[in-house]
Amino acid sequence: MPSHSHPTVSFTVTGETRETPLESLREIWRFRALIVELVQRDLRIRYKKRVGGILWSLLPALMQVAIISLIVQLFLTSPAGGISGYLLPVVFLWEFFKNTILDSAQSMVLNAQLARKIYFPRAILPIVTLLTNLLHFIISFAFMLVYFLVKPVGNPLYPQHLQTKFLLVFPIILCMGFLALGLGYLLAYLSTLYDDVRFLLNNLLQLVYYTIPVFYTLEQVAARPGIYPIYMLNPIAALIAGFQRALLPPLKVAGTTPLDYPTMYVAIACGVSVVVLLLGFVIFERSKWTMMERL
Amino acid sequence: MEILENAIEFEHVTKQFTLIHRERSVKSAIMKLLIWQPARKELFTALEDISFEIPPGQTVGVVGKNGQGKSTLLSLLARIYRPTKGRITVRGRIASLLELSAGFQPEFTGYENIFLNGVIYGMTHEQIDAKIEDIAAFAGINDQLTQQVKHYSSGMMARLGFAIAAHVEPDVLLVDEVLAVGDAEFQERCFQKIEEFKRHGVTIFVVSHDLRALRRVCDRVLWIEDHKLKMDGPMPEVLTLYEQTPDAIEVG
Repeated sequence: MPSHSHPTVSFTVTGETRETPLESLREIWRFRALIVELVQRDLRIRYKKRVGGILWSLLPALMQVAIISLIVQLFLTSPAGGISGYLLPVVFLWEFFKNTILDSAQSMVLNAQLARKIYFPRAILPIVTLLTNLLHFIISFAFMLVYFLVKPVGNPLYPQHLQTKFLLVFPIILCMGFLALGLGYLLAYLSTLYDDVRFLLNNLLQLVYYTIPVFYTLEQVAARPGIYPIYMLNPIAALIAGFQRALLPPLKVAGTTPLDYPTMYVAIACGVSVVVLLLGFVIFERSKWTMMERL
Repeated sequence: MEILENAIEFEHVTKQFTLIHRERSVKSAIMKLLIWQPARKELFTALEDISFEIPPGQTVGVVGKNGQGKSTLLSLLARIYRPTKGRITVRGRIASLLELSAGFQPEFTGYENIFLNGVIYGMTHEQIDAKIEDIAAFAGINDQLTQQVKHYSSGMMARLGFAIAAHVEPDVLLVDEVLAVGDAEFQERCFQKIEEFKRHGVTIFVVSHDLRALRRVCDRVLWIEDHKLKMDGPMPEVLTLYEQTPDAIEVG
C-alpha cells in the first residue's frame, strides 16, 4: 500500500506521559484540512435549507435591532443621533459571541459519534464552531458597513464618521473570538459531564445581554462614575462598547457628556480574553481523553 | 519503507476507567455539594497488562465474552482512548470499521458524505475524486448518490460506510462485528474486500463472535478473558480451544 503524508499516520501513546499544549497546537495545525472541511459542512447545514440563504439568516438580528430601536425611541431617553446605527454593531457582535459559545459548548456532544469512530484532535471542534460563526459575522459586518454608507433614514454615517480608530475593530473581533473560544472549551468539557449545561447557559447569556449597551447608551453609564469602571471591567461589555465606538462617533444624549474612546478598558478586556483562551484550552486538553470515556 | 517494524505493538497496556457515580445535571451536583456528598468513584479495569506485537500484513482476530475488553482494545488501537499504563504503537494509516454510519450527515447527499468522510479519514479531494465511482459502485448506491443520506436504508448507510473506509487505502484496518451487516451478497463482497486487503499486505484486526468468519480470514487469534490476554497463537490452535468453552456458544 502506498505511504501517505497524512496527519493520522503512525502514533505512539503511553499511559504516563502527556503531550504538551504546544504539541497539541502543532497537531491541530496538521489537521487544518479537516477543520476547513468541517467548517464547510457546518456552513452548508446552516444555509442550505434557507431561501435567500445568507441574507435570510441576518433577519433575526435585524428584527432585534428594529424592535429595540422602537422601544428606545418611544419609551427611553432618545439620543439625538438615532439609535439603530448604534445598535447594529452591538447586536451583531453579541450574536457572534453568543452563538459561538452555544455552538462550541455543544460541539463535543454533537460530534460524539464521529469522535468515537476516528481519531482527530478534539480541540478542533470548538475551533470549527468559532470559524463558522466568524464567517457568518463577517457577512453581517459587511451588511452593517453598507447600511452606514447608504442609511435610508437620516444622514448616512459613513464616510464622514469613518476614522482611523476603525482599525481597532479587527483586534476587538479577534479578542471577542478568543474569549468565546476559551469559554467554549470550558463549556464543551462541562457539557460532557452534565446534561443541563445548554439550558443554564441560555439563561446566563440572557442575563449577560443586559450588561451590554442595548437598552441604554454608553454615555448614560459613563454619567455614573461609580458604576462605569465596574461596568467596563466586564470584558464582554468592554469589547462590545469598544467595537461600537471604533465604528461610530460619541452619541449626544441629553444630560451627558460625549464619551472618549475607552482605550484602557478595551485593552484590559483583550488581556482577559487571551488569558481565558489559554486557560480554557489547557483545561480542555488535560481532560480530552477522559471526556471521550464520558461521551 | 520500514518493512521490518511491527505494525502494532502493545507493551504492558492497562486500561482503567474511573466510573464516577455523579449527577448528570449541574443543578443536582450543586445540591449534593451543599450537603457535602461527594461523588463516589470506582475504578474498573477493562484491560490488564496486555502485550503483543503484530507484524505488517497479519490478520488477527480477537475472541472473548462480551464485556471482557474486546471493544476497549479496538478503541485503544483507534486512539479513541488512551492507555492508563503501558505503551501502544501503531504504524501506518488506520481505517476503522467501528461505527459504520457514524460521521454521516443526514441532510447531505451520498456524494457530499463521501467527501466529508474521506477528508475525515485524511484523503485529499483529488484522491476522493479519483475513487468516488468505485466507492459508489462498491456500496451499490450509484443511483442514489445525489439523494440525501437520511432517505437511505440502514443497510445502504452501512454499505456506504464500509465502502468509504475500504477505499482509504489503510495500512491497518480495524473491524468490529461489521461482517454481520447487510445481506449475504454484501457480506460476501466485504469478505472479498478483506481478502484483497490481505493480499495487499494490510494489517487487519477483527473483533467478532462469528467464528466461521474468523476462520476464513484470520492468521492469528487473541483470546481475551477476564480482561487479560488468555491466549495468543495461530488461528486454528486458539479457535479449537476456544470452541470447547461455553463462551463460544454464546452467540450462534
